[in-house]
Amino acid sequence: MLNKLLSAFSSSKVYLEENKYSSSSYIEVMPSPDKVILPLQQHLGPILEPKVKQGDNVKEGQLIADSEAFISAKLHSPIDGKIIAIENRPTSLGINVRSIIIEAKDKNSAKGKDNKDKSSFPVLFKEHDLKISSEQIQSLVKEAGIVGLGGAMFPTHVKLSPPKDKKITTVILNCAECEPFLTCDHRIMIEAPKHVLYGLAFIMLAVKADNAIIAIEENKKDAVSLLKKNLFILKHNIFTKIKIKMLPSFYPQGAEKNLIHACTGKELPSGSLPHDLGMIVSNVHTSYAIYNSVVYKQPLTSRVITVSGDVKNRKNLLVKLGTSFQDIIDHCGGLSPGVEKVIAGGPMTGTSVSNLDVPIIKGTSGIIALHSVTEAIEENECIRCSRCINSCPMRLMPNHLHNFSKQKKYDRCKEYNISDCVECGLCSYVCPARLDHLRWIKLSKKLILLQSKK
Amino acid sequence: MENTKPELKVSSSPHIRDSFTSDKTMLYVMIALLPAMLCSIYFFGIYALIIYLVSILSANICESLVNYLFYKKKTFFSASGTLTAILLAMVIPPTIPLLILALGNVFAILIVKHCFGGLGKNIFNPALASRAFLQVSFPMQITAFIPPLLFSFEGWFSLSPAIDAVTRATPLVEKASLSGVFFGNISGSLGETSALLLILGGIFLILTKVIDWQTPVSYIATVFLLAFFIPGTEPLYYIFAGGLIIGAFFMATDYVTSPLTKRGKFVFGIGCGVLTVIIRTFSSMPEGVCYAILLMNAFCPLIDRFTVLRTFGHKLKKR
Repeated sequence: MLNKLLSAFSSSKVYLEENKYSSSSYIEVMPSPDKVILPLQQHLGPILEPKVKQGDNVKEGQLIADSEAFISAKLHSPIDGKIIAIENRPTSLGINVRSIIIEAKDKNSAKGKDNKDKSSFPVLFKEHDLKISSEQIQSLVKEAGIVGLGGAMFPTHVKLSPPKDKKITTVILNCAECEPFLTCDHRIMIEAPKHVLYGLAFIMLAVKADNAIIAIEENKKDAVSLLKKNLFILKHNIFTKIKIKMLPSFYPQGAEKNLIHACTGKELPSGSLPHDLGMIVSNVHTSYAIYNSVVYKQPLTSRVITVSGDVKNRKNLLVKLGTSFQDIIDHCGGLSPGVEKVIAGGPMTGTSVSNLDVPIIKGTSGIIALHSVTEAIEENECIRCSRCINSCPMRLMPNHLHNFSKQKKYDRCKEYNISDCVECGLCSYVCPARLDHLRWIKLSKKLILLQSKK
Repeated sequence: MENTKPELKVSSSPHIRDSFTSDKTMLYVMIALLPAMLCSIYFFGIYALIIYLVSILSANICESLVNYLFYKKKTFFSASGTLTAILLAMVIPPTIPLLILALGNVFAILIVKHCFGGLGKNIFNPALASRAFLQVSFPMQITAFIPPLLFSFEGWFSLSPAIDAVTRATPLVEKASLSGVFFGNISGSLGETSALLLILGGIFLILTKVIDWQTPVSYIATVFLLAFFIPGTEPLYYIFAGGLIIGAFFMATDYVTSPLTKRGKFVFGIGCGVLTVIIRTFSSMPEGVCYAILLMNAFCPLIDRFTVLRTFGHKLKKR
């Protein structure tokens, strides 16, 4: 209480209501769905080309789509089944994407009967001697089709292959999970700490880093103590180079640039990537997936998500990629009455979906249902309270960017550094006049990008 | 189980909002002013209550008319109009005739606020600009200060202004006691007298993060430090006397008319402090807060230009 009062005199950090309802729920394995929809673009990069055609039978883990481009990620089938269609389908990102639709071989295989699913959480732990070259790790990660599972979906094997002239000193494991409601990263750390630590070790070996920092928020003290204990137990020399750093739990602690600044005090220059400062930042879930791909040669076919908000049962689920939102919500008991929004991801940066038949993709970290839509439909006038300016993690001036965007003055937007915006959403969140700054900033950023490409 | 598909709303992120609204901001400021308002009624009688009510009523009627005629909106209660009315009522003497008060409110709402662009766009603080207008238009009535009517039975309950009471000059002209200026048991404008309650209200606003601490602290500190250089003044008495406290916490911190960044607010406070001391010392007027803040309001866009934040990841650019 006293801290809250005294925070009026310190730098304005915005503390959102965390609503981490599912932070003590064990990860439940959801039974395999009857049908999966797999968009051909679940990564940053060009769309994939299918390697199968309609009518083919596929096995679980089989490669079904690939691309020639370096910045891309392979796609594998999550279930045994038959390809029934390859066509455009709506996705949770709001656009229609060409997708492969697979129907399971034996339907209702898990409902009511013994779960024949081979996946479990976590996979049994196997020690690895860590005598593996960085090229081997990069190729195993590439074969598994792993992308950044925090939401950005950047192909991980590209991240683990930094340019030859950049010396990497530190790997930062992003365990912040600052978004309200989401608890999947937290549960992975509690239920699979050894996997996470080994995954981090593989990352360090792949980029040849000297040390690593596990950056974790204060609201996850149970995970911190488990990780510390396991670091002590694991015998290899590399684990002595990993340090744990506790950070205050405010939003957006997990934003990459702010995280690097909080861990090392260095400011990432605008337009450059972390490897320019000798750092690599990776998500916890990605680290778990890397362990699976290196030790068990398992491709990325499932992921942990958090289903929270106004659903009957709030859970952390291990789901197959391509499962539809409707199936997952039904598994959690259905929506509470009066739900007005279903969000893919977290409430600050996620996208709201218009129908529940969209699939889970690699970057979907949660399904949040909200009943009372607290944003206002009517916008009032700006009263120059400067809350947006005080809360921006990039120290931008959102009210000016909003006005310039509305007036289409893109030169002035660039003057005020609009492209440095990380789209965290705090400007719209804090505005007392309910102005939607982020909507206009996102629009202008896209238009400026299109203009510069011409 | 077949439940009907819910109608889902789709919009851009973020999908949650802080519970703070513009109206809530103004409500918090009114709550902060409430102790000082009640104290002023305690000191100056029932007529003080009538002043507040007439002020609020005239401001709301004016706002409703303007909203209906110019914006085609039907509103009955305007939080910003009410706040302007209360602040105006607190900076004029408790003997003001009601018609002049109503005229002041109409000037504040219609001319200073709406003719300059409406809510969020006015350059000058409406309450202070209106007070300046009344000062030049009705110089006699605006300086008819009286001591508190506490011990005069018929005076306290009188429904008409106590203009026939013996006027006494404000503590800036005629020296009063230090405890007097701090607790408010002295003559002065209606709401300015009790420094203690105004400071408590100001601290409440800072702790609830409605205002930033930079402006009031820099303003009062500047005046305090400069007071050491003025012969014949005691610095502590100097900051509590007159309208400095209400100006620093409630007028200079008005969102619309002050700079955007914290550094800018700091500069704004220092500028107000210097101007206040200059006007108090070298001009023929005893009180400088009103004009100091109005002059700094005019400098606000310039201050904004020179206190732009350095974006994360960029070097500081020379403007």
